[in-house]
Formats: sequence, C-alpha cells, structure tokens
Amino acid sequence: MEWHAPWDIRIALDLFLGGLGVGVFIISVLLNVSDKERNSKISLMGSYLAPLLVGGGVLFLLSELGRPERFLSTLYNFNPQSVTSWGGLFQIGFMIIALVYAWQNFKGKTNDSTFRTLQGLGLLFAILIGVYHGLLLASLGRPLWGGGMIIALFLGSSLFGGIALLVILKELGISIGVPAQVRSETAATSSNKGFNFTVLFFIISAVELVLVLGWQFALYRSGTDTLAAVNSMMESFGGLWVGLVIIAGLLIPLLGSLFAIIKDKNSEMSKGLAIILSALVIVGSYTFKHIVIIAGQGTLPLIF
Amino acid sequence: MARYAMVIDLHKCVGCGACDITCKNENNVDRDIFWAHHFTRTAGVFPNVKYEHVPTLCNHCDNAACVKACPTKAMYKDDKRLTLHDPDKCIGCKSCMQACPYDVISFNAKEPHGFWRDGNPVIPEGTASGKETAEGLGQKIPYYNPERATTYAGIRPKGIVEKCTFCDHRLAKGEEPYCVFSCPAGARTAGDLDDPTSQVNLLLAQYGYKQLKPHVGTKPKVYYIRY
Repeated sequence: MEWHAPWDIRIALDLFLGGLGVGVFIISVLLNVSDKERNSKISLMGSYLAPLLVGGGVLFLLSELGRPERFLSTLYNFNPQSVTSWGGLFQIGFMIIALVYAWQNFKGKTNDSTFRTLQGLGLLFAILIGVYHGLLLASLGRPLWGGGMIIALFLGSSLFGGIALLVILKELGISIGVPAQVRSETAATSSNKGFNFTVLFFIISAVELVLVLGWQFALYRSGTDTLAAVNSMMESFGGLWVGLVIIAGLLIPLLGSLFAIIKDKNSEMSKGLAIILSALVIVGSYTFKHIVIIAGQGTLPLIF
Repeated sequence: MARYAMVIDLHKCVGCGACDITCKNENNVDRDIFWAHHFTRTAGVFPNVKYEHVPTLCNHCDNAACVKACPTKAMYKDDKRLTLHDPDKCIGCKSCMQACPYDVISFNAKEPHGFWRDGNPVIPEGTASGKETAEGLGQKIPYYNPERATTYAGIRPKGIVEKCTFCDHRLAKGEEPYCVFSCPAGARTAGDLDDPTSQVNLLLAQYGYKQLKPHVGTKPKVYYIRY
C-alpha cells in the first residue's frame, strides 16, 4: 500500500479537539441536570471549555483548507449529499449555542427556560458533531473507514476524552471564571451520592474497548481492500495502536476504575489515580484518531 | 444530451506516455500533477510473466464519489455527464481526493508552475534556468495554452484541487480530447455512450471491457478493452 495522505495532523487535531469539546459539553450538561449541587463548578468549567475546544479544532481545520477564506461558502453552496457540508453547519450552530450557553452560565442565568432550551439545543448539536466526525470518514468510502462502527468509535472516544478532561480539572481544582459563590457552594457539598465519575469511566472504557477490538476483528474478516488497509495500519502504527490506544487508553483505565469500584463502590477514585487514568485516556483518544485518520488514507493498488 | 466515455485499447497501447505529456501541454498542468497518468504492474514468474501498462485519467463516473463528497458543489456533473470542477467554489478541503477511488484528483499545495520563476538552472553552468527561459520567451509560462481557459481556469491557483475535464474545451468545438488526438498508437477512443452507433459502443460490443474498481459502485466511464 502506498502512502498518499491529503489530510495531515491538523485534521486529526480538529477531530480530536472537536471531539473533546462536544464530550465536555455533553457531560457538563448532564452534570448540571443530574447533579448540580456537587458538580456545579466542573459543569461551569465544561461550558467554558466546550466552545474553546471545538473552536480550536475548527482553527486547525481552517489551516488545513487550501482556501480557508471560502469556508462559509459551505453554507450558501450547501451540498446536501456531502457530510462535510453538514459538518460545517453543525459546527457553526454548535459554536453559537455553546458560546451563548457559556455566557448564560457566567452570568448565573441558569434557572430560566432559555437556559434549558440552550442545554437541549446544545446537546443535540454536540451529538450531531460527535456523530459527524465518524460519519465524515465513513462517507468517503475508504476501506479502513467503511462501515458504521467508526461512527460509534469516534463518538465514544470523544465522550471518554471529555469525561477525562473534566476529571483532571476537577481533581486539580481548576476553576477559572467560576463565580466565588459557586465555588463555596460546591465545597460545602460533601455527599457521596450522585454522579459517579469512576463508574462512568468503567462503563465507557469497557464499551469503547469492546468496540475497538470488535472493529479490528471485523476489519480482519472483511474483503481484500479492507484487509490490506488494516494490515498496513498495523505495520505502520502497530506499536502505538496496541501500546497507547488499547493498553494505555482503554485497558488500564478499565482496570484502574474497576479497582477503585471494588475498593469502594460509593466513592470516587483517588486524586492521583484519577489524574493518571484521565491523562492516559486523553493520550489514547488522540492516538486512536490520529492513527485511524492517517492510516486510512493509504492508497490501494488500482485493479480491474 | 451526450454521455461521454473513453475506451482504451490496451492491445494497441505501447506505454509511450504521450498521453501523460500532451495532456500537460494542452491543459497547462504543472510538473508534479498528472491529469492523465498510468500505472504498471508485473505479474507471474519467469518465463510466464505479464507486464501491464494501464493509462489512467478521471473516470467521469456516473455515480461520482467526488461530487457527493464536495461540500460546496465545486465538483459537479455537467449536461454531458462529465465530472467537472469549479475553481471559484473550491475551498481546498480535499474531500474529493479522499472520496475518489482512482486517485486522479490533485491538490495545488503551492503556487503552480514555480519552475518558470526559479532562477536555478537544471544543470549549473550547463542549462538556462526556468526563469531565464520564460523571460527570454517573454511569457510567464512558456507553452501556455490559452484555449484551456475558455471553459476552466487556464492555470489552477494554489489552494484548490484540479483534475481531468475530458478536454471539455475541445469537446465544445467538436474536437476529441487531446490525449485521444495525440495517442500515436490510436489506442484511445472517445464518444457518446448514448449513441448506439458511436465508436465507443462498437468497440465495447466487439471486445467486451473492464473498468477500474467496478466494485466500489462509482460507475466509471473509462473502459479498457483487449486487456
């Protein structure tokens, strides 16, 4: 297989940062809805981070375009058949909603119907972007990206990355832009009941691990084009794939969170363990997307 | 309306590469980019060895993946069912390149035809530089064909993709694509698939054909006979 990669690391960074952004947003909204008392600080941080991350990803995307100044033409020259076209629409829509949502959070206007509407719309657009990342690749018909599993894989990886980033912020106690009143409210709440990051970590790492291994197994049992593509991926990136994606990014977080649950099912992981596992998840998530995007662009021989 | 296709007779093709080169002249294609190209393949073990030289170009697929992938409709099908490209709409996202199974779309990563602006000679103290040649001829790009600009950008600028147009500027004048015209072996035939008496239909009926990657479902319209 020859290497001919029109898309470089900037597309991997776009999908990674965009994925982190929508993952952070989704978890931030869920925290706000389900466990506001204990997690209002981290939920607020999530609402600030989401547009920054998605916006950062879009900047990498723009830098990869040959004519970035024409980016908005994806709106007025919209091609309904093109997933890329839909992606432009979703990202612009999400950015607007996420920025207004962050502003509402910053101003403390979190109890009116506008806020709830923004949460609902934001969740919708976040999921659409999460799905779009995988669908974009699947729609291009390249052997490694074919089939629907890539959509679930990318969405799962984005969610997992988002959770990991919020856990790091929570454990490090980072609260930039969070009003003092919210900080003191959060500190005063010491109940262990409610949203449990450790259980979520365990569930998502287990699901994502099964999806990744299942995807790889399915590729090895597919046609010659797909087999050539996955063999090429493993030849070029096998060490990184097994070491960083499977072991560091999924297996260790799975076992680590399981260990914490067995130790005490009602409490969260220790601070040190949570930070280490979360960092591994983020590294694994990026490595996964980078390898799939770069390796998927290999050129197969032309055949009759 | 016509539905243009091309038949390439691999028994007649001698692998001279004239199509690759003359296409560049006709369409002002830069050095690193090929609208008309080829691949070669050697199969078997001596003494039973088979060597193939297969010319390639845009297949102007009926079900063109590049047209579906393009987010701005820069890739489109015209009324002759040719797959064409609008340089003014292209944002250079390269989605079409990813979607094309035939690898026949190229991206202008740098300002094209830099050779003619380069002051370094090919052989120091032996040849003129591209810049000297261009200045000597009084043209920015020697051998520039202004006819190309009648239906497409004469030279495609940096930041957008480009591809074979089936010489739509020549078709508009009732002429055949330049690779067909210039093939010294007469291996290429272009014509209307919807015309049952066209030469392409006669050849396809007489010999049978193969297409590149028919399994991907793009319905390519470049047919190879006598492979």
